Amino acid sequence: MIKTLILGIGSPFGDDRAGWLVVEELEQVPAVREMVAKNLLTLEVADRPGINLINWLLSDYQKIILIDMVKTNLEIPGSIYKLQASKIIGFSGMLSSHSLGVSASLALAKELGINIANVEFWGVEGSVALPESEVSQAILTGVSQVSQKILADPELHL
Amino acid sequence: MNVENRTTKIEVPILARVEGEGALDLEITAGKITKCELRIYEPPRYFEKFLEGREPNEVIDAVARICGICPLAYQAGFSNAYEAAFGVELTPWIYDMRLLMFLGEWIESHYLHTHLLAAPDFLNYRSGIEMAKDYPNEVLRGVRLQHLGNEILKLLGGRSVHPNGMKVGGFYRAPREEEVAALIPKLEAALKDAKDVVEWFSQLPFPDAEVPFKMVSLRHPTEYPVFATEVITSDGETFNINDYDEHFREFHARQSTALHSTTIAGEPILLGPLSRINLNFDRLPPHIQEMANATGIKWPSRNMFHSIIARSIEGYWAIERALEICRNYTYTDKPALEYTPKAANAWGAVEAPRGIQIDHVQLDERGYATAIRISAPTSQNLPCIEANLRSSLETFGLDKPDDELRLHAEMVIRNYDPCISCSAHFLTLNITRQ
Repeated sequence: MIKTLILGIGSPFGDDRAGWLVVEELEQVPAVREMVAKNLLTLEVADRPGINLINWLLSDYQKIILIDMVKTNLEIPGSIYKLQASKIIGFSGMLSSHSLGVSASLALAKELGINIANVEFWGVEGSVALPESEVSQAILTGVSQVSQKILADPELHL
Repeated sequence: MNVENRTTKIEVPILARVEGEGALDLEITAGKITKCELRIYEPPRYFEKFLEGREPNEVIDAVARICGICPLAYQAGFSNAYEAAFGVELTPWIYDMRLLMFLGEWIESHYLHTHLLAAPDFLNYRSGIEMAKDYPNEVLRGVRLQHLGNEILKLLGGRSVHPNGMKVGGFYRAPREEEVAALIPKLEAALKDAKDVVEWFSQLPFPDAEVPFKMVSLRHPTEYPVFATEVITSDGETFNINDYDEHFREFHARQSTALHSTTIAGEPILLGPLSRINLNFDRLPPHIQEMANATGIKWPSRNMFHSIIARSIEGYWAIERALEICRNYTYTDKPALEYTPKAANAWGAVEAPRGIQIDHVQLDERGYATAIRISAPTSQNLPCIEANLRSSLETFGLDKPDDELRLHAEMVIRNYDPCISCSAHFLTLNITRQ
């Protein structure tokens, strides 16, 4: 069995909670809790993993699953995307100590020669990510779909 | 066209590798800079206003949200202010844990800034990512050191971003001895890394440019300053933080949503690592003074580009001091002191990674805030940055192409590691040549 990290990325603002909500859903699943207890699965949430993502990539996880809200405006809210890390490192993102985004951190990791082939990214198309805003029904549907897809991942043995 | 007769406007609409959003408007007329303004256009965040009417620990939790990189500067500054207001004398245990946590912030902030934001400037890379191709070991070393700082923050703050372990009078919990002991081998290993960083940075090519500004820092009675109540300047002045307003003034500049600060007479003031090391060199342990002298720099230095070396020396000191605290750690079941709220006016100050953070609270009899003032180091440094840009660009050569001027301007600005989001609020360059 492989050791996996599932990292939900988000903020308290409306649909931006998507990554956190997927982790919350997974935490309720007995098979997930069992794998966590066996130290084969780690569930984490972060608001900006930034450069810490490098340290996770350097640790002993054989697979890292990142979940975050995305706003492409190409699909309707609640739509889900599955991408390999190599597909998102070209995304624009400011490189500053306050906002070293997921794509910039993965791009840095690649230049450092760190293997990112084991990083999988799940995105949920969101619409509203403002302070005080509620999570939309559409995002909740997308969150459940991502949770189910992760639970069905044969590599995780859940 | 003859350079002497033209006016050039250079616009840097978004400055990369700094925190927050702002722009630089530069106008060059007949070979002279006629306008040099850092335009801080991030919207005001109104922290000072919405913290009014809140109880002390609510303020301590809320101010951590001002910044993702230096949240502790605000938490510690306000804790100091409240503790001064309520007459709380910290126990050595609480003081050491506050210092350990703050050193964690210096470590994560300094190594992230120097490796990913500043070093690429000196080595002619557009970004830390591009530099990582040729300097993977160095960048990884910086990442390791940065992460160690975050680990310290997480230990005492529960999490590395927006930590919430601190309260007025101490901490919500004391870490277990084994948790602190686990940091010791990591800090020991980090000392070698940190020494190597100082040596690496000392080999960088530094532009020859001196700044004339009044340097200002805190002064601790016995050691390198992190928390202190005494302020010193390069002009030999010494005063208590309670008298800050008698020496410096904050004012609104038309181009900025962040307040600016100068001396009462209107001179720019320079806060941050270069001022700290210049004014407190004698407070570094002798072997670290030797390390600093071995870089070939004659301290005190007035070359702002030496800030990257100052940060690396401070990083080494911070790791060594953190190690000392961890080795001496014992658990306590009293991680916080009780306090009695009362009406008061009080000041708190800390040396944030970017310079002095000054906080002032006015409290009612319940200890609830009736007025709050937050003076972040970047906003205090803004007039200095503008003045530095004028002199630095003139020395660099105003006849250089716009792109070269823009890059040099960004490099000058990054020496200050400005945090615009903190100061309320970085860089777009707009250059006009006529």
